[in-house]
Amino acid sequence: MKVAVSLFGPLVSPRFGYSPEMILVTIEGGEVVSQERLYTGGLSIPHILNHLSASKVDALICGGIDEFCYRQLVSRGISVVPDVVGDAETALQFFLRGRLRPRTDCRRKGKRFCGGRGSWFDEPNWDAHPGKFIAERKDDHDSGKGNL
Amino acid sequence: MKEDEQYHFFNVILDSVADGVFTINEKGEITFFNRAAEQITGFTKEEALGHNCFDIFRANICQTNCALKQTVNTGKEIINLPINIINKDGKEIPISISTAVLRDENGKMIGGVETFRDLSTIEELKKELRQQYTFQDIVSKNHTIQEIFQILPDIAESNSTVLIQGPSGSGKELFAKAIHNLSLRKDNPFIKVNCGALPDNLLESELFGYIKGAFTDAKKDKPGRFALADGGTIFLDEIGDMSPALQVKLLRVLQDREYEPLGGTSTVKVDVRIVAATNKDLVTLVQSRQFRDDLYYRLNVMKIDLPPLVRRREDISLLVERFVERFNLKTGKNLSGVSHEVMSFFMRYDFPGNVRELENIIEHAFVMCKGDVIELRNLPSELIERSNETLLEEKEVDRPLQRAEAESIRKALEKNRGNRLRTARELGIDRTTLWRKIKRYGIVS
Repeated sequence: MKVAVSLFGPLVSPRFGYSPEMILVTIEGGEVVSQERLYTGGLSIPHILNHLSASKVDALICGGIDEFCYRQLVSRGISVVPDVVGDAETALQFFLRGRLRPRTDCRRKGKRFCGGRGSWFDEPNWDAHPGKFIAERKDDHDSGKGNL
Repeated sequence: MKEDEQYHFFNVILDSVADGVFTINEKGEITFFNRAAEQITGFTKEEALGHNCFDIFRANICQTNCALKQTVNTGKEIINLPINIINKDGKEIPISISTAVLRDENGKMIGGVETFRDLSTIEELKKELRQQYTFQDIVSKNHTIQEIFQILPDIAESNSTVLIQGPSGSGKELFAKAIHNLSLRKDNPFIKVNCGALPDNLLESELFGYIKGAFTDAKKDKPGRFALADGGTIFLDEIGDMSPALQVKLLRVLQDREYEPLGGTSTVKVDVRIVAATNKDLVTLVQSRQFRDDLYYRLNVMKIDLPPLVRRREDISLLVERFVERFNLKTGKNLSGVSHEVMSFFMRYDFPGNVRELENIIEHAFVMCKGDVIELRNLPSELIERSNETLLEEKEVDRPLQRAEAESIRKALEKNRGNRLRTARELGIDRTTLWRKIKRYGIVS
């Protein structure tokens, strides 16, 4: 599966659609097998959305995101983990362990960042989230080395 | 006043102002957050303090064009910059911001201060006024057009070929432009070709271009409109007037996205979206074999049918308003609108030239009008004469269909002894429709 993280330097971008770059990570068996950079500086939002669906991205990790973009992504079959704050690498690690939820503050050991979502936000079933799926697969591989 | 009291006093002042105020230190962390800032962003002071301002505001300018950073770096203030942020609930909020450098008592820079104002209410009111019935450059409150407005973004995004059918002057080109502007091709060219305005071989060279030496005067290569529209949209107006020979060539472009320029031997590939328009009924043309059916099906992937202005009379006042506004700007005049008589004339007139005719009428009236309001006498005289004739014709009921309708109503009324409700039921029409028709045909019941 492919996961995109919109970036602000080493951090998760505070606002999707206005960040100059993203990282696309391919995950197999709970491990990162490859990663590439996607430069989105100067691209319009429909362009970015199209890039993501053309790159066959399954999940997006981002900070703030408006309703329009969120709905567009979900309708293209992309799971969105919004309002994530802090280091992008840490966010990805949390995702791999199935512990990334909206509003995760990656600087504070994954504590929930103050924030919420309006009525338009359909909270997905996080237990069925792709991140969770990877975590379970990883646990299988680790054959009971302890739950991360 | 003691220092503590002074601090408390300033806090009270800043909490009382209606504008949001916050400050940051040199690391970009929030050090002060007033009550209005809490209300606008949804974050409490406790939540915001110590966080980077971009994590709280999530503005469209945070990453590429941070106003506060610019001010801190250059020392220059920014005043009333409109931006948008995402509030705690995930809702996009338009705000206007002003920034300044924050200095201590010795003049040393210790960070920045930003004040901001919620523009949601103002923006909503503006939107309601301007955009309720506006889409791109099109104005309408007619339900058919409103339905088209609803699906237009999806049509635009789909990249499919679009066929727009509607009488002349009904706004086909405006819709084609709106489709282009809403599509991902919007930064590429929008090229218009009127297929009815040029003779056949000229149109062919215009569309596909020619190679040097293709004919006597072809001294160098000339790219056609398809080549110019590469990556963008080509708008083929009056497609129903295209000759069968050219229809075949166009069909090939639609099928394979390739063509050969006049006199050329190599095939040219082109990435272009085709929007075609016609005021003719293509189905009838297909039946009479004047238009290729395979081309018709290729064009008719997405179809938009535009109604004539008589079927959207509710838009006349909106359109008049729009045109008066536009010509005021163009001519430097300041007319307030049209008189009551003019408006009621417009409501009865059948506008064979549709919206374009209405626009021309207003333009004519702008030249003739010396006062503040457009009067009946400012309208083109032949228009008033022609419409008087039409109205007379209606009174005399000398059109066969209408005569037959009037006769049926008369008979049904007689049968039901003048009872209009029963008559309406028998004829299967509404009571008010019956009343209108009785009045129109001058039937005495």
